[in-house]
Amino acid sequence: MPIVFSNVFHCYNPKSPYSFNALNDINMTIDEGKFIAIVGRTGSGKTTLVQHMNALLKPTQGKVEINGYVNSSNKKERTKKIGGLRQEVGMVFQFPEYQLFEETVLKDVAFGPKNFGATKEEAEEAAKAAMARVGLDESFYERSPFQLSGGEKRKVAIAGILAMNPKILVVDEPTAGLDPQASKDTMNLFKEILASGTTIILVSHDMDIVSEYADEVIVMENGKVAKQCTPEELFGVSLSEYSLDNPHTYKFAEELRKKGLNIPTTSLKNVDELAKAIKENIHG
Amino acid sequence: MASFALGKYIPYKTPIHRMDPRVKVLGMIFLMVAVFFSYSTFSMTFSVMGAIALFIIVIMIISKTSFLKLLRSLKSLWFMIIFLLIIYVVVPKNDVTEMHVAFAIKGYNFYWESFLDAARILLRLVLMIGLSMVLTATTSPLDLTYALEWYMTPLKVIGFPAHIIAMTISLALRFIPTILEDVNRIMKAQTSRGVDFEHGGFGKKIKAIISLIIPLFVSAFIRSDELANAMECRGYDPNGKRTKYRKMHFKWSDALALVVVAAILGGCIYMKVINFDLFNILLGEGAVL
Repeated sequence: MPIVFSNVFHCYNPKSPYSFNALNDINMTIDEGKFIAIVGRTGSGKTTLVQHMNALLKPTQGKVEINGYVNSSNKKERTKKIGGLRQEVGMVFQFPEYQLFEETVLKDVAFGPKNFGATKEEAEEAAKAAMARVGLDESFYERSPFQLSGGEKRKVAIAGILAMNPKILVVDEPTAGLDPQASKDTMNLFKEILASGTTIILVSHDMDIVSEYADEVIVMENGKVAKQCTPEELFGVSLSEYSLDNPHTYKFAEELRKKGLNIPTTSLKNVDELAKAIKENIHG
Repeated sequence: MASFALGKYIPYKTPIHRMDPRVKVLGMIFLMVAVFFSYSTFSMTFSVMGAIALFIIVIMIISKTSFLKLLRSLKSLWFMIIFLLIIYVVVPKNDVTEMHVAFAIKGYNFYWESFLDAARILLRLVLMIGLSMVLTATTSPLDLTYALEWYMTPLKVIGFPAHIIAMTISLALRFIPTILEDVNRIMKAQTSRGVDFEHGGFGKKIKAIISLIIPLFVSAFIRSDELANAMECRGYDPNGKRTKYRKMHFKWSDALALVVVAAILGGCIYMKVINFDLFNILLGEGAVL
């Protein structure tokens, strides 16, 4: 099931001096089973946008339809028990490690499934499976989440969402503050989750990540969708007007082209592909 | 977070907003004291309170303080109000010489005076909340602490740590919105994990609150630690002498406002002291209302 936004507006603190229109008339469809990246400058409405996808925020106007759930400003249209939507759309917040609270890691990861009606055994089963997916072994089960390192905490928090088996996974800046290896591991984890049939929606500033992983990019600007296209279509156009930068591989390839090397630029997803293209160009 | 109406600064640009915070603090205290007097008769008390209420309403209109928010903050006090009313009505005061029976149930008398007493208390409460709302809605927390610090300065002579107290207050005030933001963020994160903060029985509510409180404490401790370090790094010394970036200016309009408020308080004290009764003078000696 796709996610459909129809004429969605969102205003924070309406009717006060702090009133702020975060979303202005959003109309778009996000397809199932894809890796979608949402990019845009700080304050462009990315986080507000994704929080409508699991009904944490209610539109001030318009509606969002997800898997038969309707998150609408209109009370009659709005699905009554919208809480169930949150199991289908898992949301990993920015710095998710600040939501941990149980005494043990296992209990914390099992917290989500238990809230959605799983028995203790089922929840622990799901928790163990989720922890295996993010690469936390049995030695972590009985440890306190507060004694872990930052990277491990984040893994626990992500496992806590994965344990609910969401059909759509929304991740807000998952690599912020992680070291390069940890962020690579995290992104590869999302790639695996995508391969198992889950839609991934990633909010990010990092164009290298977008170029390597995303099937589709949504560019947000002043609460509007400025562009919805593939990464290849996006790179090369003037990205600076959205406060965005081209990925490093693109910039590198562009410089090489100026020196006379005939290699593609926008279709290169990562360093390996760039290296391959250069090699073929030299030998071929 | 809309329920935190009381105590939230709203940055309009009105004459009340521009007033010197020191004058606002003192003015509020004067008016509150004036509200607390009761006079020789109920009719006098209510007339004077009515006049003060009118004055406060005018201030609220000028400062664009919302009446809706005042009503909303009363809504959260409804239990206390009902409780007060019952106590006042059921337990009549003995010090009033003349009591007028309103009605009697099974030989137990209910007096008009008790109802009037309850109404007086209620009016006082509303006026006090209104006053403090005007102060906090028109004065930024920082200005408020500056004003408090200024009033505490004379105490420095006896070794009172005025600056440290003011710094503590301003840090506490500064962190209220930050902590509210944290509450909001953690609530959203836990809601995403299936916690329902609005519905569910007692046990579920407790569990929901725990899932909020523990991360909140953790982040509050981290924040305070970071803040302390940041202050140290910038050479903060609690006992050091410092100048101010923003100076408070006492203007002519402030003096005028202070005179008006002081006159109101003075008038009230005078009427109280001489047992002034306007209705007695107007209607002649011995008239009963």
